[in-house]
Amino acid sequence: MDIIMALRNMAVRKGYMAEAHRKVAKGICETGHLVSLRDEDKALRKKLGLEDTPPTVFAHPEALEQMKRIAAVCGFDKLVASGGK
Amino acid sequence: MAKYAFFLGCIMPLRYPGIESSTREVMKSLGVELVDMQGASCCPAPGVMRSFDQTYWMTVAARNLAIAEKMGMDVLTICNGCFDTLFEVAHKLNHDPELRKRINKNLRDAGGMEYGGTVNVRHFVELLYRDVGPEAIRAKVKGGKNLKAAVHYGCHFLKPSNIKKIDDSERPHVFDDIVEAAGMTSLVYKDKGTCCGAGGGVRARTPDVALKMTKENLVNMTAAGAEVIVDCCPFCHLQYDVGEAQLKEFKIPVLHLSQLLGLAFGLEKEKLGLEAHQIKVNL
Repeated sequence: MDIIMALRNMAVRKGYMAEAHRKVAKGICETGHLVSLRDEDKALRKKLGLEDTPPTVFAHPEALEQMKRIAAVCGFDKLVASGGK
Repeated sequence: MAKYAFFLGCIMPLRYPGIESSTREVMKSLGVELVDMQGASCCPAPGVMRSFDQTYWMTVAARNLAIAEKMGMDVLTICNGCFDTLFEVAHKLNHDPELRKRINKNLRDAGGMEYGGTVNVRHFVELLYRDVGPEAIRAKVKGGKNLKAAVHYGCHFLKPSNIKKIDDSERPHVFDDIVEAAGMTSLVYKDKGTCCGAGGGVRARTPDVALKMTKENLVNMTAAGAEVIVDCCPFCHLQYDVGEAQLKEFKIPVLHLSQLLGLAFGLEKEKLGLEAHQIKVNL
């Protein structure tokens, strides 16, 4: 497992990444979440008695900024910025 | 009352918030207090993110763990993927001070957070089995139907079993025991331990392959006489619920365990979010 993960990481650094996966990674980098918060999600959450915006990075802009800084510190933002091979 | 830092993840709060409200209600009724983790993010998802860059994967997970540590609580998750990332990263960082030092440098450089290596990560099925127990759950059940349930364990709840140590990963019973305590009959069906099809980045890159895997599971569940599918992961939940709608030939309602317990405990149906499912739930 450890060896396979190390090899996968090496392959990504050489640009071998599926476009669909790169988009997922870029999305997490930029928004802090795997999926977006849509108006219909907000409406359903409200209907269920939940806060319309979950108390995650979506409700805390400073937390999202911290996430973006982590991506920059790790060089992850550049890694997934553009299309791979 | 036991208190946990409630990790929301992504799919539950944003696509199936009924699982979130069900979990909050069920845990409250069992005397478990869930406290929100303000500013938490994606875990991040183990399939793609760990494969891309383990340092980034661990640093973001460590940030989430640091939020719980600051709250003075262990983490509770209802998602197999979140459990996998947070449990494995906590295991690594709690046992390897050198690695923790390296990851903490990234956290500090990005804004001053630090993880001290003290947080444990719990999956709610494991917590229900070990801390609450099937008997206490049985005692809360207020009638309802006895249905034939296809329990779906998913990939990351039990594995890697050498560090999670929850149950036998090939012949597990803990999830089935909870479902039976809720008044259901848990079925034996072919290839019960198989992936739902969504994980490991398969749904994102090759949705047709993911759907084929889902269909094979649905055929096996149908052959065993399943009247309901019970999962313990919002991503598996989405794959079955949306997958059935796409395939059009199956109509087995899909429930996350928190929703099943909500029904069994006689909680307000409006809080369970069942009407938001693609496949009609009329139980």
